[in-house]
Amino acid sequence: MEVSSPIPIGDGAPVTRAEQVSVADLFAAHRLGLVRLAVLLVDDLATAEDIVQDAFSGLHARRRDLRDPNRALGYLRTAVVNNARSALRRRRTARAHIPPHVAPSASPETQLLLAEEHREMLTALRRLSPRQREVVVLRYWSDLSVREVSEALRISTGTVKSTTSKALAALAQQLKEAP
Amino acid sequence: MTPSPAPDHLEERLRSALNARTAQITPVQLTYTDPPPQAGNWLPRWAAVGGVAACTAGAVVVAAVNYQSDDEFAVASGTDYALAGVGYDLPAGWTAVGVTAPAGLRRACLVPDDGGVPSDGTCPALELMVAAPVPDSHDGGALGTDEFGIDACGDDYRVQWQVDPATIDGAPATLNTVRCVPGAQPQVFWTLDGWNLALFVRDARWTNTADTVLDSVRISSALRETAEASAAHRAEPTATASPSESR
Repeated sequence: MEVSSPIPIGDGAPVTRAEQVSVADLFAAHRLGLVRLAVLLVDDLATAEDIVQDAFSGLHARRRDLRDPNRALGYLRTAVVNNARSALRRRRTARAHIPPHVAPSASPETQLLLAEEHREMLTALRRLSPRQREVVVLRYWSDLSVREVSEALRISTGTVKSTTSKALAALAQQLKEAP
Repeated sequence: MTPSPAPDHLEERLRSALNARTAQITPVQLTYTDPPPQAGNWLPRWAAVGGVAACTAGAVVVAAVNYQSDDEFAVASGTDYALAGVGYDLPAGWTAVGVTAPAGLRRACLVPDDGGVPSDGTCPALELMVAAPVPDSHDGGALGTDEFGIDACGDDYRVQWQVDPATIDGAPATLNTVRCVPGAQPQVFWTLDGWNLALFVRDARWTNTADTVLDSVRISSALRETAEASAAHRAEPTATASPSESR
């Protein structure tokens, strides 16, 4: 799994041990949220956990350069999105080579626990393009600002806005067409 | 036919659905421990990438992998087996692997994700040698499909496999050389019955140091608390059996 280095996490200045952000603290505080974010991107808890693990591992490898928890969280968030993208790409590659297997989306039990309207929305969400889905999830679940989404995805704010708009339109259309 | 929702209502519904979905993801109690618990008290899924930065130019990298079954792993708690992570995307972004195995295979390193498979058709200067104890080596040590099939070498590469007799720490073993070579991946995959694989990654970019091993153990142990693994293994004694015992 790719371990990306999505954003610089240090400013180049030496970081003392006391200044270093504790990966353990970050892990305790943010792992669950990041797993949830990843689940929304890949629809599969096991993959989501791996994705988050890889993100933390990447952070761990660079922990000596790390001093700002907020920056670290941004790093993790971007790593999760990148790694989710890689996971989806890998899934597509595998499908091209091996007999199709059941997509590891939400389990039947999970589906049962969701209200009908939520199921419709999540089905529609899965049909969005990966980029649209990323933007929508970061905007409406992570509650990131347009600027923060643009930083996380490394795209312009204009692209965030237009992608959001198109994604919402697509969702609306799909919901309208839902049986 | 559902009426098209108004924008505000749509956003509200979207938030609600996202929250409903994520609320189903319940917290798993994980404990970051430093120093780590005894080797083996961690799940391989979590054994990935720590120590990447420690892999620098130099010598041979050795890594060990324990598999149990498809997408499951020999969790080491309560056994002599330590475990390893699993590699994806070889050689681009190698993120595996491991630690010790009972045959004396030990040491591990994680491979830096320092670039992708070249698009010019050349194979990266990568050679993997996979060593497995003889009893497990009927097909050369066996590697998993996901980990070392398609993804192992990238879309435009295939795995080339060679098996030679060898000894490791005085014990008989097979030495399996795996190379990623240009060409489409055939629809043939290694079966996943390999235990105690050791991946010898030869590349001038990588080395293997004690620090690297410790680092990988540390990050691994940090990310899946032992209690869960131990409980699972107590519940399923066969899962902790040695490979030879379990066969």
